Amino acid sequence: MVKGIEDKLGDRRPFEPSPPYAIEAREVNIAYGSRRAVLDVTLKVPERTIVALIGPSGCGKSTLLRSINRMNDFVTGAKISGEILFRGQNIYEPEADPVLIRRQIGMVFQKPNPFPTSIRKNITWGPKINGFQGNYDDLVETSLRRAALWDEVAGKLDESGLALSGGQQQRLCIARAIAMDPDVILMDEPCSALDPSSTLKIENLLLELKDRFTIIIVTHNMQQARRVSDYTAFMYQGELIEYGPTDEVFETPRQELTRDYVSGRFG
Amino acid sequence: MSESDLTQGTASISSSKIREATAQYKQVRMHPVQWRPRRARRKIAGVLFLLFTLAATLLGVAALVLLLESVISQGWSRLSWDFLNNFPSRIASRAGIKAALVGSIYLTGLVAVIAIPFGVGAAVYLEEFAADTKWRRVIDINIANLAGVPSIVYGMLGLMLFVRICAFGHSLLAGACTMSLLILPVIIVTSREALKTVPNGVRLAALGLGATKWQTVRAHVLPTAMPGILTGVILSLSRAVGETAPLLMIGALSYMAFVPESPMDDFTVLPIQIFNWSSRPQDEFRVAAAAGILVLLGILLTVNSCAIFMRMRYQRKMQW
Repeated sequence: MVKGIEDKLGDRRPFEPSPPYAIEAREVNIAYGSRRAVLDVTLKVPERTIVALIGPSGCGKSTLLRSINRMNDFVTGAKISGEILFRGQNIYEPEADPVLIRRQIGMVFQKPNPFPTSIRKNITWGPKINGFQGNYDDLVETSLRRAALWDEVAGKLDESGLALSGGQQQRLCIARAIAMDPDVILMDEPCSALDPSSTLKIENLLLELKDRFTIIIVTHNMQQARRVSDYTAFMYQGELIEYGPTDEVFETPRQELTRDYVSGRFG
Repeated sequence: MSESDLTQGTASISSSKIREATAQYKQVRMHPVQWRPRRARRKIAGVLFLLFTLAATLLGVAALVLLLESVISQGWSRLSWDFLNNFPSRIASRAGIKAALVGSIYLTGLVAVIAIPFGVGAAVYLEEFAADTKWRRVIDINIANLAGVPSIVYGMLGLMLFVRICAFGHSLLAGACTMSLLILPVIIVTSREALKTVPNGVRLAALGLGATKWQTVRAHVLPTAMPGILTGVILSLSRAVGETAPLLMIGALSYMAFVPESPMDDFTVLPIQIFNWSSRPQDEFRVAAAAGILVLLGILLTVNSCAIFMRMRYQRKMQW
């Protein structure tokens, strides 16, 4: 517990959404060397919902997100303790295969990062290396349609993904993640590099995708969290301060700290 | 208004504060004493710098023109099919460079086969796989230092390691191994620099799709870094074509009347042949040396053009 927060906190009973859960974090601690980035976070993410992680810069929300598909493995010095269950299986147990986990838990990054190759290959590469046996043309079309990008790129599938605008690139990255047919999609501030109209498109897209996927989204934009998410988790200095249905977190927060943050008093 | 107010974003900017700031700004504008643009001086500095860089370029070009001029004027008339197709001879007019030319080509080919996989492999390991530990940093510094070790030292190492311990003898293989050692550090350093320029987002994107590290490197990182890697590889191969000292050290022949047929055969290379001819007293051999230099330059030009061509193809394949 960080000094100074303790006395401010009121009711901290953990919020229990209704099962089944896609992701369940149990007392997760993550540290980079001696710097502790995530402290004792316990969080349940129900299937086919959108969960927003909010909080000021450096509060550990991106670190927590990256730990859910073991992308933190690539950060030097990152150490994790506790359990993260994906469909009841701890993804940090020794037998767990991080490659398989990342195949089932996709990720969309803050900065659009298409591969420097054609739009088509951007979509097909992931399925190809994972042994997809179906029809690749159909896969490309359905993925792009679901990412609301098909109409804009249908005629130029063999052109470079990098020739697209920033918003289109990010939707291409979402299409690339969808093409793997993952169970969960993690999004790390997917709209922070985009203009308002692209942001709106992606937000609408998220609401569509909820039917099929569980989405966990880190965002700095509280209006965005409010518009798209079913549940919101507020983190501060590595701790999960409050987690609950989005309306409750924004309208009637249990913690003073949450209230101050969502009302824009700091952050 | 404290600094934390600013960073936390709670400060409210009232219109009186805006007015205050505007007034301050105007005050600064009204005291030109605080600004000394010295535009004339800056412009002169700019022109001087331009002249310096131009002079540096011209110096290099001039040296090259001088070299080419003297070599071409001496050696051009000596170039002929016979010159390329004859073995060296005591009689200057009959002397040719067949053995050296073939030796150089074989040596370069063998060096490429040995040095490229090991060099690029080491670079990929150090850049993509190795954890950032104390040991890796020690290795880093040592590799950079090895690139600066004089070539004769590699010759001595090659003599001991390949000629004696591995018992390759004074063979083409021993020469190729020695040359590979010589250029390995350069290939490693340049390949690592090329790998460093690959945006990290590309790696994360691939790994996030459930690719293994090897698939990520193979399909995205290496192709993206390939133009840079090729540049380093070709520059170091050119160096291998031109090096003489380490091969003299391991005992490459300076007179050879046959063409090496297997990697275990004796060999000679163009620079050795040129050195040999230019140290003879007769003028005719000097002319032969000049012609030999032309052939060597021709090979270097060919190798470099290949590199540029391949680099362009790779750059076009990457759709940046």
